[in-house]
Amino acid sequence: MESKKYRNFLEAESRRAPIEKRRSNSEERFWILWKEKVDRATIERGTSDIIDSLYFGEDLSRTVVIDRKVARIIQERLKGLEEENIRLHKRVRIMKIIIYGLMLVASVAVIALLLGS
Amino acid sequence: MLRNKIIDLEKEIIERFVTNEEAVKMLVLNQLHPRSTTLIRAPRGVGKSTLMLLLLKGITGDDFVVISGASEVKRGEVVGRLHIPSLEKEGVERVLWAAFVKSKGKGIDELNRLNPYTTANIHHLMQFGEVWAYGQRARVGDYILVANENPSDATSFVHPPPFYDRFDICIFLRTLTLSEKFRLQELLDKYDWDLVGSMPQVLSFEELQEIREEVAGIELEPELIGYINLLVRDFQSCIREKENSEIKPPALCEGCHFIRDICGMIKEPVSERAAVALTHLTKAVKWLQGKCDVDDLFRMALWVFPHRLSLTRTRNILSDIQELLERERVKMEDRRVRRQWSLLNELMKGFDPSIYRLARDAAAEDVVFAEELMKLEEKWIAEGLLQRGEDISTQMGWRSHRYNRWRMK
Repeated sequence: MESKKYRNFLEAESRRAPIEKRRSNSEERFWILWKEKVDRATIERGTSDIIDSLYFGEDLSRTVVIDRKVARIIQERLKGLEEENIRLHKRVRIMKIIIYGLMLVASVAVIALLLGS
Repeated sequence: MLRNKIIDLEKEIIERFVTNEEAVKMLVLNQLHPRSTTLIRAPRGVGKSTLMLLLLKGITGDDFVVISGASEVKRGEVVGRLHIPSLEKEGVERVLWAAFVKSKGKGIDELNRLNPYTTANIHHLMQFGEVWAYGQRARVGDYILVANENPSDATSFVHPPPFYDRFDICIFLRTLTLSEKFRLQELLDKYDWDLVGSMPQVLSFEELQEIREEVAGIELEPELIGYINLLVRDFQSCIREKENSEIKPPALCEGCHFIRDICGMIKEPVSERAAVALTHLTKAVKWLQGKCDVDDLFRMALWVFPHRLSLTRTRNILSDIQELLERERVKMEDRRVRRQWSLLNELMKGFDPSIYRLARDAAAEDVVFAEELMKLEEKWIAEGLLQRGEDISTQMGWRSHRYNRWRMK
């Protein structure tokens, strides 16, 4: 005689993960089938060594798994780096213009000095 | 409100006890069922005795007795002594029961140093709720019992596993980090170096008993009951019945089909008391927080299993068990993905060859499921629905003793 609570547990689990029994075309055999439910519980998987690799330069293993939080960190970091890159690029251009300007002023001054003497 | 009192008790203890918050929460939760017993394990000087006293004081005020395993405790101090004048004058053996027996709050300091004779008396008290001395018995009512020990203490007695099994939970405390040491010094200054003395009695023992009655009346969902039993069974089961074998894993597992399963990592399995303790805790969580889910159950199992089992290889008992619990969580999810319980549910209603084939595939990878399927197979063989030799137990060579005996009937 099986316990009522045990039967209730099996019933509850069957409702959460149901199976379907369908008769095949031959009418003699059955198919047992099920679909993945959308609300299936997911296992929290931790992030593998990606962070250590990014920040401490450690080697990566063959497969790298990252969770959403870490993906977001990496996205933010890439975005920041791109913005920084554009800012530095602009600064380099300005510096180049200043240097060319200074070189022009200096060469004009040298020529003026030479002509004056 | 009684719930608020429990929350206050937790708060008052946490206010006086640095870090180990999860351990404190478990300690308080474990008091919410009758005759609660808690074991605190930690290295020396971490605060085992302080935590024990904070709890005893918070619930029983001054109605608690602490015996110390470090001193030479005699039976008279723990159980009872003979009243000499009655014996001399009247020739009657009257026993004066010890304060430890009569008090609501019982504490045992340095349990590991307790001599085997006293241990046996306390074991009997926890098992039967009574004590014996000079042929007389005293019933012990409801109580809270908290014990502590330092397992690496060189002067330890080795107490038998069934004795430790009587403790509902075993909480581990860790040493303080740098910043936590500063926090402790601040606390000591705040409470004038008397943390225990400053602890108020937050609730009366009668109120605790009222709470215990309410908690006992909590109904758990079939899913939670199922997961408690499943979790415990996964930490027990062995297709080669290790509990009846003199050879234990890993030697016993040589050539076993399930060698890579959790069962192969466990030398001595947990007892049925683990399921009882988990049920009490689950009810307590549901009473206190209004709900308890499977994640809570797994978190609590970490404190219910360590003193009840031994592993084939132990580096750090807590992290080793944590690792096994994580594997167990994945295994439970796999079972659902493979619809194992749905298949079993269908088979319980009646034999179906298509479903049976799928169930056999699942059984080949899951001992606990295999056990249930084997039970059904025996029934079908008896009913003539299945031939001997077609069953998975014969084909895989899983000849369980209990099923063989049943077959002979």
